[in-house]
Amino acid sequence: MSAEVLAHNGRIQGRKRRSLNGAWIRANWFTLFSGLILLAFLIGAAWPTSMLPYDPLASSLSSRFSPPFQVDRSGNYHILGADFLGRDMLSRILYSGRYSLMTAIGASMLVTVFGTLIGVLCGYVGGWIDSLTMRIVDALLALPVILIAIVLATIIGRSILTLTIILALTGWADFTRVVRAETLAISSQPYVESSRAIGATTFRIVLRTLIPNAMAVVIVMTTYSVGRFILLESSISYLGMGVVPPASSWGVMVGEGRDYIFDAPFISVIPGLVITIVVIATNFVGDGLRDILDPRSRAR
Amino acid sequence: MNLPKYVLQRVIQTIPMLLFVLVLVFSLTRLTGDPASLMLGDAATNESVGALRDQWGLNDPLLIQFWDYIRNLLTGDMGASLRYSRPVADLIGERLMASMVLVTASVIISVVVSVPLGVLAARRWNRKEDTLIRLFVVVGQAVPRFYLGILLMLLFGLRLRWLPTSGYGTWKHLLLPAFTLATPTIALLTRLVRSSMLEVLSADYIRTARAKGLGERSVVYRHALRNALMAPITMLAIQAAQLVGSAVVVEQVFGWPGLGRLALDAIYARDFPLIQGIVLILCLIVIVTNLVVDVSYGFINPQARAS
Amino acid sequence: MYGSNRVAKDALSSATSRRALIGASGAIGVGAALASGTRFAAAQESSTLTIAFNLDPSTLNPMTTTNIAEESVAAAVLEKLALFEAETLEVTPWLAESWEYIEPTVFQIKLKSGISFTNGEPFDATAAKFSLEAWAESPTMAQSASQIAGYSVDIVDDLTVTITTPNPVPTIPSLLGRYMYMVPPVYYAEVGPDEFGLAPIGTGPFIYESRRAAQDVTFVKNPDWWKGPHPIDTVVFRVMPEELSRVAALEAGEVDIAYYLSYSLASRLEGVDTATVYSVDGLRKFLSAFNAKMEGGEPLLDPNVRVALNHAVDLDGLVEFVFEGQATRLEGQYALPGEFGFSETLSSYGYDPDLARQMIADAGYPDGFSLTYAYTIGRYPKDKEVGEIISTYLQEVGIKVEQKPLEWGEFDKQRKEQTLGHIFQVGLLLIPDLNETFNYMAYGEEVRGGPMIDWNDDWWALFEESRSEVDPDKRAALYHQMLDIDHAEPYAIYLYGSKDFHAVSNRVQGFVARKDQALLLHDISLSS
Repeated sequence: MSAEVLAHNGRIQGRKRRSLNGAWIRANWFTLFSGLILLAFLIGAAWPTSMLPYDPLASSLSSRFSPPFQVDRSGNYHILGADFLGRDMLSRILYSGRYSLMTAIGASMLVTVFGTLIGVLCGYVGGWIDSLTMRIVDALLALPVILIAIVLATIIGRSILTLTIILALTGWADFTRVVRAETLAISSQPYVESSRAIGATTFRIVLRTLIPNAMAVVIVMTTYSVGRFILLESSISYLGMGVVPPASSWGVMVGEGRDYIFDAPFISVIPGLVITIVVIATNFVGDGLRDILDPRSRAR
Repeated sequence: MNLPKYVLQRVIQTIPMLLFVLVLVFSLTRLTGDPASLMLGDAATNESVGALRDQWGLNDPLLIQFWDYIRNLLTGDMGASLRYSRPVADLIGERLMASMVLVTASVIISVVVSVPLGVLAARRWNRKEDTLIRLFVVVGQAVPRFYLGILLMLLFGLRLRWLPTSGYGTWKHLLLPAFTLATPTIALLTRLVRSSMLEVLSADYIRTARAKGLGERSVVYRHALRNALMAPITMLAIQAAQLVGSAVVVEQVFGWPGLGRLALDAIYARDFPLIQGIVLILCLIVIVTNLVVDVSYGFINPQARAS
Repeated sequence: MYGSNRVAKDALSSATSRRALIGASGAIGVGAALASGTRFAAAQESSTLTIAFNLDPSTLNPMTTTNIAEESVAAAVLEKLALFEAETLEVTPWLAESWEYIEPTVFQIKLKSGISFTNGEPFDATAAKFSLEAWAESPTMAQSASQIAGYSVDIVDDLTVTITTPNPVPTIPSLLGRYMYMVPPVYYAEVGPDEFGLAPIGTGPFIYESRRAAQDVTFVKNPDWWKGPHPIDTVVFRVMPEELSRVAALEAGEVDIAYYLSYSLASRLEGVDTATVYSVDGLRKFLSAFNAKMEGGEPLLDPNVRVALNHAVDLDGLVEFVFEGQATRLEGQYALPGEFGFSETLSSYGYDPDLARQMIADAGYPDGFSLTYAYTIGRYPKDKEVGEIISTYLQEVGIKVEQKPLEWGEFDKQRKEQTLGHIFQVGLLLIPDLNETFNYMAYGEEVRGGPMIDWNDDWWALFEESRSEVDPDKRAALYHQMLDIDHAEPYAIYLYGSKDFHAVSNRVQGFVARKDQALLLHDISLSS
């Protein structure tokens, strides 16, 4: 046995040991940090408009294209600069965050509720309900998401509520599928069999046994879908079919700034960075939650 | 062997699925607006709009329109585009090639980049290389494609002048859009290869191989990799089919003449037959790919067929 | 494959101008030239003009499109009887030799002789008659054709036709200059309008060569063009819908003309010494039209309220804010300088929010009122920003504005259903003769989406009179009276005329930025 192989084996055993304490804490540290970033953006989004540094909707001739960290011609300081209409970038980022986060979180909540209910039901009840639903899910998963979202936006409009619903409509299918698979796995567990044996109703089994046991997967999926919806919303907005004034979103901001990318790149680069950071943060939180809630996949 | 029966069964299952998709898209598009009025512009009269609608058969009852559409579809006729006055099949045919080139290139890039990265990360688990690769994965999954596309275009097209900023034709035109499209897939695939590799490397037979004194290279590349790639490649196949439709943003940024942009234009012009045709084709691509993946899975592993 | 070859050609054929561009930041051109060095000789012999174009034309038959950009591509092949001069907007004969009204209702056109279509068909009275009639048969042209409804075309001799109309129509030359393209009758009748749009044949400087969907349309020189062969051998329209891509491609030397840009991106190229930015006061003019007939629009029935709203909007601020000064303020009328009928005596209302508030209060709305304001997103340059800012102005004078920003298709749908809003944005590009503008306004309820107010009876009388007034001076005088009425009882908030920008490589000579947004290749050449 070569020394290298021994070392390698040692490393693997080391990994196993660490995965119970050291790496776990490190992963949590990341999760914690990401959670804080998310929290900061959430607070920023919830911050009252009147208490933002500047009115996010008020344009100002003297502040136009004022670069980050500089005092503009009228003596105002814009920490992240001002856009092509002289609107303060920081205020706008926080303001747009409301809509980006609201639609993404709202849609995640919707798919969580409906995806879980439908998924658990299909997985547990089975039969024709299951096969019919799964065929619909398959069909929906085959549809081009962005295009369908745009078609829906032209029909039901582009308010915050309708966009949230559109995101949810395009996102519930794979959520349902994962929850169903999880339910199938849980259903074959002895404790489900035994509660059925002692005469528990389907309703009770679903509510008391299946949903709580599927919760770990559900929570993780929900977290991931927030990031996914932020990305989807930003793509739709970039293509010009996202939220409309006076609302705004990070994707809208990137799109608006595109015309000025040469002379004032910060106008679209900053919101793009914000999207990336927030999605990274949600993914890390998702990873962390999965490690905590789902021991099977720990430290991957 | 009842493989043919299984395939047949799956094919039959797709028919109601496609019908469902068609009903959905057909009824949705009719709610979006009036192609005749859009085509005739600001100053058109109601009369001329009505005449054009008649010419296009849009004044017939919806059920009849749908029935006609399905009947024509069964004879292989997808109808004519309203905006281009040309057969939908021709329009799609022209663009499908560009879409396929883009997606194929993205898939190749994904594999070429992800597999080595994933293996390296797994072998250097929790070391500097692994951390860097994981960082890349994390960013790659989070960056919006349109944003990355703009940044790459500015850097390589305008600042460095290494590659054309947009267009279609040579491999140089292909690089930026293909890489932009591939980035999230690269990230996902790297992550999968890494975790799958980690799992395999700690499996018993690898330990046995090591115990037998096989070289590390041989262990990793002959034995571990082959087994570790199964799941990621399956995932890639399914992802690739969906890339055709989701390439729309990348096509828009780089002026790539693919199906996504055609679809977008069709939606804006309310070109109903064209929207229906494209969505149908995109769905077919996904469904057929899934079928092929499932069948080959079943072929390799008969147990999968049973479930 | 032409992409890298093109760059190579550019780099070699205009070494001096290109060097500067390339030298700045690493040589894609030179690299590509080395890579495809074998094509060197062939490349230098022929000249190619590449245009980064903003759309993929749905057809190359200009009779079936109302989109001036699509027409511009077709205009490489097809020509009209008349042209608008780029600067003065005067209509001058092109394929026609001359014309005159021999009677108020009879318009006689003499054609140039010795011209033929590139498939050999002669351009003569038969072809002209066929083309003039085919135009009106196209459903796309119904609205424009309604301006000369009931006309007939007669052949006088081989090179003379007359257009006879039931009533005098003074604007026939404008219509000739804007719409009616000359097509070869035998071929057109044989293939039909749709097929013709795939492979057009005309009398123009170029011959249609090939097309790759969503990529490019290629034309080659017509050696027998009646004005003598064009100096450019090949013209390629490259389809690049993203404005950013067009600018980047021009700056990288991949194309010669970046067509139709906004100021914010074009200004970038002003600093590039291998390209020139052309700007022109375009003919597209914008207004916020009133629909007083919609439920809740009663306040707008009062002309004073409508004037007040014109006072509420700071036009100079709007132009400065949104367009960095690069747009033309409308002078209290829906007409641009240079248009036939423009009134010199009128001027902008002037920004006066206090007066506006006062007038609204005097009209019986001391607390203001509510209305919906609809505008498009992504149809016109900066339409979203304009909509947002106008909403702000209206809110400042005490009006509660519900904004309805819509994608063009949704906008069009709601406009047709009359549910759009009490105020909605309109941006029209019409012939530079107020006749067409008035036509659009007057038939607001038939022509879907026109403004809807109680039109002044005098206005109608003047309009009817003007329609058959053949004498230009008298017609202009009538238009001035109508504009005065429109000023006192506005049907809209008159906003601005757009400026268009095109960026052109310095190796291109003779480029003219036209007010009507059309791109004509007639006088363009390439310096070697």
